[in-house]
Amino acid sequence: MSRAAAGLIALDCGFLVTGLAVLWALGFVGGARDAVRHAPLALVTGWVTTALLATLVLLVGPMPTASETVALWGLALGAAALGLLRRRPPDEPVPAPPPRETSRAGATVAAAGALVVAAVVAADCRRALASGPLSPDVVTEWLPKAETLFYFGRIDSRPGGFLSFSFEDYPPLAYVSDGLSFRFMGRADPLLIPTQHWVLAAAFYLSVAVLLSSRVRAALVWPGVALLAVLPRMDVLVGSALADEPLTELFALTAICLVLWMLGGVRRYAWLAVLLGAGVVLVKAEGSMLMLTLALAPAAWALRRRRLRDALLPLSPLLAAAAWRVWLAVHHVRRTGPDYRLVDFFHPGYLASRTGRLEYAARELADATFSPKHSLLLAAATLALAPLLAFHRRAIAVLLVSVVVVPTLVYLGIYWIGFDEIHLYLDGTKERLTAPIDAAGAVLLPLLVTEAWRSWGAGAGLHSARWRSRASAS
Amino acid sequence: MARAIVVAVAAIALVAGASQVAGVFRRTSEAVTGEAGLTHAQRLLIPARAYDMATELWLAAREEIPVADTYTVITGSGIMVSSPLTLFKAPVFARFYLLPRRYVSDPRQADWILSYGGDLQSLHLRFRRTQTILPGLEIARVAR
Repeated sequence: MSRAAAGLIALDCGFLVTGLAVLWALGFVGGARDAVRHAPLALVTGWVTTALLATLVLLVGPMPTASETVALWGLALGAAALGLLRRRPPDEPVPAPPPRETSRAGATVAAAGALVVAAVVAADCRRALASGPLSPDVVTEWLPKAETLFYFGRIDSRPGGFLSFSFEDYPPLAYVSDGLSFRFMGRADPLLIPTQHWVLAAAFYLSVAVLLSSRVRAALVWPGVALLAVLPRMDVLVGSALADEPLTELFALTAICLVLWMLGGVRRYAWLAVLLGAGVVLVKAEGSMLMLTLALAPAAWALRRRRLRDALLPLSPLLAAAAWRVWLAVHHVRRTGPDYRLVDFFHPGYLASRTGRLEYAARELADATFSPKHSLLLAAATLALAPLLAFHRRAIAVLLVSVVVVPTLVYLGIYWIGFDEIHLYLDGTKERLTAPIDAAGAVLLPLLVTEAWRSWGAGAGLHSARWRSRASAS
Repeated sequence: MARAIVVAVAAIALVAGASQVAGVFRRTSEAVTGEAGLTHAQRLLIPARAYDMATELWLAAREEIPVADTYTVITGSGIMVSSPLTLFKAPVFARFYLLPRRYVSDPRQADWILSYGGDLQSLHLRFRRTQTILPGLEIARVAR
């Protein structure tokens, strides 16, 4: 085994241990069996925690070295051990035991779904090991900026440094994450990065299963994860080293956590969503907008229950974006070639002259969002289930509509006022921009089907009333 | 009725997903086959090949230019290209491939000039030495 590969394994072990400590502190893990079951979620949680800590360090000083990263892990473990995060309020509802798959048919369906997931993960591994052709954006921006963090040790404003590349104002978490991989490899080898991204993607798929299985039977969980794994967007993104990959993964996991919180009132899901959501806003520029689309419905749901502190939880990841904005302002960093200017929305003449652009973008974006070939109809399925849930779970129905409609309208508006040639602009971005929406649709589908089925089944009134009373008690 | 809609939605999504399974494995096979037999160094150059770039200049530059030096890339009509995009992408690829060497946009601040079909004389700089890698591809060390 090469030193670089051994370094990446050490990095992932660090993520795993840190993530387990965080999950323990949040109340997800109570014993050895729990730890094994939650290992994939722990890996993702540890990765986000480490990347967030390293990003904070980078904003005030140098990019952490491998040994400094180990010190950051020690800090996280210490915080968990001191129980700083483990403050379970006395009124916290006890989560219902996870549903068991009792029927043979259900177990067969679950096994078939799991088999598809395993096969896709194996295929993704094969491709990651071959380090398939790096996409132009990865070569132009993502990997070189991560390499500058490794070589120059900070956000370097000198020629050839971090800020000399395009999209200067992009938040740094994705670069920091790859920069940490380089630190642990001991060299900046771009061809090993897809393998590290594959590890995180595999952990992401299994994390979805871990989270869903708390409320959904296995016969729905595994086909749902299989659907996510064969999603054409995921197929393109996994191992690509584009920031859209972690953005999609973190967005989907944050969506599950927030919906689970609203369904059961168990606050640890909200805290985990805060952590993952901070990753969403710091991984890519559109992350703040996406997080806002996820946060508004849960915040309103908590406010209706007169829980102001809970209402602030889903909105708190946006503070991470504020920290980055402050850093940009303090260092006078502005993007040199913006793609659009928001003030153009207030120039009717400008907008009217570009209606052809709007029409074309609407057509293309609708195709990307709703066509079976591109999206597996997941965005459409999410919208179709929203009215069914609106009767019993209004806040969740609002969240679903918000997750699909708001980003689509925002992207449409940007295509409308954008400067770039519209055909090239759409061709280069529409697939990636709609990936988080489809992934959220895929991960939520088993949960939504379960809830809609329960809500409209025999004894639905009793069932809903039980959950409502549990949620309101929280 | 509502439960029927739930079942229909789940079934449609699963059918749409099932139709994609074969495609995932086909695309993986294509990607892996395309890379088969390539060395680590060759795989790093794939993004340049994608734009039909001659890669000899970048290989030579990695050998010649010390990691602490600065460089810039000039392009021009001194080399045949299949698309103007090749010339546009040449400096972009160099910035990826030649790190930690620092790219500067002003040739007067550069220790080295990499010419991808460009005209070195038009820069009005003094060169300590010039090396022709292939016709149209040159590396020049700027005299200080």
